Amino acid sequence: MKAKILVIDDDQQFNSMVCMILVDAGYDVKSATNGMEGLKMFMKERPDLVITDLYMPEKEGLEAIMELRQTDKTVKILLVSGGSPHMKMSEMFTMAGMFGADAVLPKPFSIGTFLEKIKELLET
Amino acid sequence: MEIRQMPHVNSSSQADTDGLTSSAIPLRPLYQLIIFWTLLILGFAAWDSYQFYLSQLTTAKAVARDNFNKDLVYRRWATMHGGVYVPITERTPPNPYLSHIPDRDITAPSGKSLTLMNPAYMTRQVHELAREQYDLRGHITSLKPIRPANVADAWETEALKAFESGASESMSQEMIDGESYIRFMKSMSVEEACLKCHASQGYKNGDVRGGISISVPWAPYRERVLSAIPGKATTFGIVWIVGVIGIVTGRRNLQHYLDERDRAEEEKLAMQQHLQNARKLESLGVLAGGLAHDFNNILATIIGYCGILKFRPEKVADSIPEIEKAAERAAELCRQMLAYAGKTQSVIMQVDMTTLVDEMVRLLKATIPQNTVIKVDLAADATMIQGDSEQLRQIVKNLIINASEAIGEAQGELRISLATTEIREGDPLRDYQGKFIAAGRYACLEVTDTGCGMDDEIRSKIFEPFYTTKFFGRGLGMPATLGIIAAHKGALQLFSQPGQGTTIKVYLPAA
Repeated sequence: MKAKILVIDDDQQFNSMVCMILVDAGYDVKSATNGMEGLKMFMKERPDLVITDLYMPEKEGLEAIMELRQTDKTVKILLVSGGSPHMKMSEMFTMAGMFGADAVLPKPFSIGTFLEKIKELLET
Repeated sequence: MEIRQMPHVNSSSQADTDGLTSSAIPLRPLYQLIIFWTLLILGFAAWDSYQFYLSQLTTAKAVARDNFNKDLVYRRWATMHGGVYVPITERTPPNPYLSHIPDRDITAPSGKSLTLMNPAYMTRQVHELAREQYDLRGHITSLKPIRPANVADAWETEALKAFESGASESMSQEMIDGESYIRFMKSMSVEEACLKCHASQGYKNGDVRGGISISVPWAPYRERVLSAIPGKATTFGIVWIVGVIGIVTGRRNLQHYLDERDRAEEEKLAMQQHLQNARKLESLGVLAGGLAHDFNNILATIIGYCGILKFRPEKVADSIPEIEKAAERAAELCRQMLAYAGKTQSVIMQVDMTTLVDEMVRLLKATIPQNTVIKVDLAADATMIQGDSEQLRQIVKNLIINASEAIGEAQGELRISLATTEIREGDPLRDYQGKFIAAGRYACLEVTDTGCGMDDEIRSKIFEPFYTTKFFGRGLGMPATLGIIAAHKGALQLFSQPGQGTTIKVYLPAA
């Protein structure tokens, strides 16, 4: 059975690309363009893994991660971010861990690294 | 047409600390104040002493007048009784000037010899007693005295002559035997009873026969005036000292207050400088973080598609346009940043703002929701400015889109107007930062929306890069708009209140 992955990112081009890579890699992929939409999608689809951006309109990534974790203790959460105007990268990663993210992957990254991280998270 | 690098107009202001000077109070006004205070006290002291002297003079004059009145009363009493009989003594011998009176000397049934004492004789004796006891001199006199000793002195003669000319009394301060006296004299008219003794002189009833002069010694009053001087000098001296202490203390307190104020002002300026630096650093951090985020996202897309191409070359048709699109986004980001910094390569030419705004409104109308009523009021004539048409379009676009998004889904109105306006020297027009807008002719673009408006915090941050209140947007539109306006040597005004909509006026120098 295919693992189900939800991609939440407001950068539609990046979102589409990640979805394409994941579909090609054989995953069942769903996508949302902000935290609010992502939470609704999560409740509907109950994915195995959530990939979320941090700096997004409407509901920021950290807030989305916290609510996801409160809803589901077992779902794997991967934070991917190119940084934030209001937070240092190191702070962001620390806070992501505190809020319930399982792993953090800074943008940009190679497909190999990305897929490896996905595999690793789904297997643990 | 020319291509040039537009200069960046630095919008940040630095506190001018060169103008800070210590508010030291010079000593000269202090000395002047003390001199003024001293003169004032001396003036008051002199005035007070003079008033005291006048009061003593008035008292002495009153004493003289009272004595005269008293003399007149007992003299009248004696006249009323036709004189009185008194025992003949050494001091009171029979009056030789009354020898023509038949009953001048009589013998009482007891055998005691009595002589008639007429009012003049009685008054003279009373005056002699007063002089012995109080140095109060009285003198009954006339220009035609019966008794030679009653002859008037020089002052009395002057007074008596004045009485004959109609004066009723005379008073002055005079020297007698080397001593100062207050001299008072009042005329006496002939009454019926007087004729008993004076008819022989030819007087008739009502004639001015003479007068009584009263001389009150000034010495006791002068003594009182002089003895009051030390007390008054002490009092005024104390007031002067208290005043001087007050002036000196006041100056010191004022200096202290000014020093404290200067110190507080300096601390405030230092704090403002510190805050400004902190804000700049924060702003720089936000700028760097925002840029990194956007570029990393774009790079992630480019690297991702390159990876796809590497492993799945057959996806070239899908990937290459995406890579181009990502690269174009990066270029747009750079353009926005350069616009914000005022470093854009500009193509400067004559631009008709009326036509440009009209075209942009037509273009953007399709993107504005139906719930928003658009009202356009553009100047009838061409409004020419020197500028980069692309950048100017960006300004119009950003303002209209922002206004439309502020209205959102609600019913609202979006007004766009353009007119030429003249700002004169001294006009109190200020830009959004509170700086005066330079005098000159401007094309004024005004965009007003009836949307949500902005509170103080949003107003203060709206031009900071990567600050956004919108669902979509990177927070670069308004900073870029401001950068372009600054590069065109224009100005921006912002009027907004929460719930009351927003008006943005852009002033661009007319060609």
